[in-house]
Amino acid sequence: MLITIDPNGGAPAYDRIAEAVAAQIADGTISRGERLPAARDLADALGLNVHTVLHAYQRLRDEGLVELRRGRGAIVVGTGGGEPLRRAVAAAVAEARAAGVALPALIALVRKEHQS
Amino acid sequence: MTAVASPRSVRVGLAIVLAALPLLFVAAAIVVMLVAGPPLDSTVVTHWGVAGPDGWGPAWSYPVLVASIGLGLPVLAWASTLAVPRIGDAVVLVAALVLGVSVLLTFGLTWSFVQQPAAADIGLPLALGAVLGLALGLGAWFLLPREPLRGDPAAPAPELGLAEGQRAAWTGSVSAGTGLIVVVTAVLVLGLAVAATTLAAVGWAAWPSLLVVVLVLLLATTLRWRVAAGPSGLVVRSAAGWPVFRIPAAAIVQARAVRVEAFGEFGGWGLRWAPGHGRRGRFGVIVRSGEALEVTRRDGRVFVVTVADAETAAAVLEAQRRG
Repeated sequence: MLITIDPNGGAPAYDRIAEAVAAQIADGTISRGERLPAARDLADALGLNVHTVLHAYQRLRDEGLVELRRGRGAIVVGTGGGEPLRRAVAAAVAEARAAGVALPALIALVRKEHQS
Repeated sequence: MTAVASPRSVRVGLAIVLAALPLLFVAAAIVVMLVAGPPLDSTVVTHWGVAGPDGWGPAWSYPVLVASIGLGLPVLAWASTLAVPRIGDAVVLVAALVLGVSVLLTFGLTWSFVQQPAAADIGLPLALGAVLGLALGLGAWFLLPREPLRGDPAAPAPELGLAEGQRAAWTGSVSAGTGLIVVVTAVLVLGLAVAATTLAAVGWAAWPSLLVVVLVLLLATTLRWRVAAGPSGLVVRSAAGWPVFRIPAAAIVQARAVRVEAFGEFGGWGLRWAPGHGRRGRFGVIVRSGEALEVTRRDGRVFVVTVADAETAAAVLEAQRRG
């Protein structure tokens, strides 16, 4: 499985790994039911400590995107919305830009909407 | 050195080295033995200890031994090559070794035999036989043609299209076929049974029989592998956690996907070394034939691991190398 991680923007490594996996679930590159790489393997590939990857997987579990099962690894339970959702998000981002809403404010808005 | 030839000349070459030449040598040896050697019903030296001859037997055992080993061994090897789909360096290496051993024994035994009963020396005949065998074996290694790789891609790894600063990590795994797993499991169970029986019958003095079990367990660790490629380089780890092979990204000069023939190129499964492909040959974690990731190191050594989606793995390592 190929996982692409964005450049270091000051965020901790586990956050960047979790975001990369979340983004790939959202755009459908990783689909529901798939098993994420064993934490040991992903740590090997990235040259990171295995605990850093486990931390990222725990964050994904807390966000409801994966299930961690002892002995079976991390199974993806979340799903991406596909093309319609991507278009809706693009529209929302364009709207936010036009209105001068900064990214953290937009994310806060999305989170509030998602929780209500 | 890796001559490319049509399959027909490859097969003819093997038949010459493993069947025609041994047949010629053994026939000549037997004629020489019959003409110049002691009578076949006499008694001659058949075994040497550290202090000299210590075993005697009938003279006819010499021509029988020369025929069965000098000719039997290469013909057996030749027959087994008929089932190999592609004749690569590994098969040619076996053929050269077998020819060498056949020549060594045919020459050494024949010379020792014709000196008897006046002199009973085996050291010098075997030493000269070894030199002759080595020369012919080397000749076979350099002269025998090999079959080219079928559909050798040699295509550069595809671009990943990473954005500036992006990092890609790839993970995969490979497992031996069911047949191989069944065989290893069966051997392990058999080994355990034999070791347990021996220990029960003989007592702890028979502890070396446990070594068989250790060996099979070591073999079992090479049946399943996990492969990780990324910014750190390439890590190939047995499913058992050990052994592990690591190649740091900085040591990699080329990564590409290739197809390998487990038998034709590496002589079988497991942790394998195969001659050719540069001076140092190739080291392989070979679990099956087919798609494989091939990594060339800065010092010229080549590492191969059979794994699916090797193309993506190669692309990740190449992207890492290009910066």
